[in-house]
Amino acid sequence: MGKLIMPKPEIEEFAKILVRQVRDAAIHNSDRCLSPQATHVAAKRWREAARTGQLEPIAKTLIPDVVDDTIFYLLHAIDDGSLQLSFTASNGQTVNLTKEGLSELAGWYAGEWNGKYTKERFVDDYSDLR
Amino acid sequence: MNRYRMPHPFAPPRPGGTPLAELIDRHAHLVAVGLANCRAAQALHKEITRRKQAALCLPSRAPLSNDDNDDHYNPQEHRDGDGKWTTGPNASGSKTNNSSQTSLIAKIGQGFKFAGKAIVAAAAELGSEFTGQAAADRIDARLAWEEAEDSVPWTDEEWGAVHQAIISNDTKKLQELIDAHNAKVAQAAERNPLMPLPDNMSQLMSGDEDLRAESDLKLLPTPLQVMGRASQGFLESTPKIGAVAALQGAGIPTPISAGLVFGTTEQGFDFKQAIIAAAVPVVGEYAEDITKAIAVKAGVSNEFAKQIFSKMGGAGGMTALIGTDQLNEIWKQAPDKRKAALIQIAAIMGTLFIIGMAGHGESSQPEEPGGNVGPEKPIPKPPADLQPYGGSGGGHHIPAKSAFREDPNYDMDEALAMPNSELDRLGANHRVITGAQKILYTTFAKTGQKLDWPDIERIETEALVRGGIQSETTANEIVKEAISALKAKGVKPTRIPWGN
Repeated sequence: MGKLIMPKPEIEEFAKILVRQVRDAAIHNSDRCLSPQATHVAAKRWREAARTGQLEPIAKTLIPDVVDDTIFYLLHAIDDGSLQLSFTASNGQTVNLTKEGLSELAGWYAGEWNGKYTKERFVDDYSDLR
Repeated sequence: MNRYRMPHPFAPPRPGGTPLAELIDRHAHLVAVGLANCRAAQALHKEITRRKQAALCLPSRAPLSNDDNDDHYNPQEHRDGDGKWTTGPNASGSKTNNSSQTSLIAKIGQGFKFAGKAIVAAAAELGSEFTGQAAADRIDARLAWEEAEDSVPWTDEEWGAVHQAIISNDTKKLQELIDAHNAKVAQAAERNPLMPLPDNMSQLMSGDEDLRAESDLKLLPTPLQVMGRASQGFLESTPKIGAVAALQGAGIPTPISAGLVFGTTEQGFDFKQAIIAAAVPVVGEYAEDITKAIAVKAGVSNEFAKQIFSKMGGAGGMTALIGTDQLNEIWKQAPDKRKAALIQIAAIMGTLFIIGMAGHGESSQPEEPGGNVGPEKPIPKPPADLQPYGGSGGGHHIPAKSAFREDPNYDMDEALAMPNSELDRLGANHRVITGAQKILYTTFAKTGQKLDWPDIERIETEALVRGGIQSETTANEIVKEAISALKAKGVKPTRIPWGN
């Protein structure tokens, strides 16, 4: 029987933060959409899709929202410093996302980037605000 | 396709019907064997409830044929189809006290909440054999709706929004809020097994959706029309039911309407109800004068005052709200002064109602007569339990943390945030809130103005509402609390988030 291979403790710490603050948080936020009390646009959209009773329209509505929630919480974890990540751009420059993102990455994503750069389906929840 | 209508499992095989204890046993058995939601169990539950409510109601009114105190009553005596005694000393019993009307009245206790219409619905049920499936389905639809209402209570946030709409004189918003809540109730009602099938519903909805009293009466054969009209009158003089029903029919939730009618008393009818019953028609007669007086006193338009009067349940609700003590005082006055006194107090009630709905919980003019009368005000509670972000709660920073970058007094972990548990409770969406923050701050940045606290308060409030905090008032109070905490620490905005 081979030796059990464990990641470095630092990697385990990263994994734990990733799962707790990104995966779990995204699931939790998505679950809120199921609350009968929820009146925000995403919850309304989900309920509307559910009325069809068909899997495809329901899934097609839920998938982008769940993905957006997941990325949102990844960036939120970077914003609050839980995940200290860096990014090396194509020009070779490396930036500290927490520091140079000004704790605004999650907002940038939710309020602009997801609609601006996506090539998949997207519902603009703020079209009346822009 | 018409649904087959099940016979009631408690159809009385003997005079007086199956004993209540036996009904309870039957219901308990169905529950025990896992059939709590079957139609038989539901029908039993309704009948048990009806009898209990009827038992509460009867002692307060003029003695009826089956009152326990009526020495002439013998439940074993035979009666005809209309409930008249056919044998014994009661054979010539009063038509108005026959068991049929008693049954009709008791049906109100089933909990129909549509004032002036409920009794007609009950009469319609009695006459369903004459009027066909539509009336029976309509009643089932009403019951399904009523049960749905109970399962979808108005939330604090919804009430906050209603309060805000009222104090803002925003009748359109008020209607939207009521419609939004009703949409939730409708969803619950659709899941109720009592709800008629879609084709039955469409038939009903294409007709008289509102179950208007007069049109329903016309569905009935003449004897039941007479009974229906008589019973409508009775309903008006039965404040517990009439006033609560009126308020609920006007969209006021059960706890509020019941509270308005009964105050803190949950004992049902008492002798005071008779005083209120006598006043209902009088208040109704002065409705126009009362609405004008409310408009003047509360500083709102006549139209809005009229709507408030309606929302309070019209004459029934207003009379119940005025209460017996005030009515007693009014009746003590000379006849020519009663009208003015009644209008004045009703106007104060209307104003109190508006203020009460605004959640301030204080009378308009303490020295005014009646200023201490009215519904018991709820104890205000914090709109949200904000916690330092660095604690166990995490959640959403209010305001956006990047507005205070490089402010030495600002600590991201100590700053207040709406914890995840509060986001859960309020049904808010973190991502939607943050996206709205970004857009609103970016828009503000384009104005070229310097960001100050009032701007932050406005933007953050709007973002919270956007993210699902249902009441703007609640959202604003949350933001104010967070801003106050920052100000207390000497924090000042240093930049426009997402703006530069």
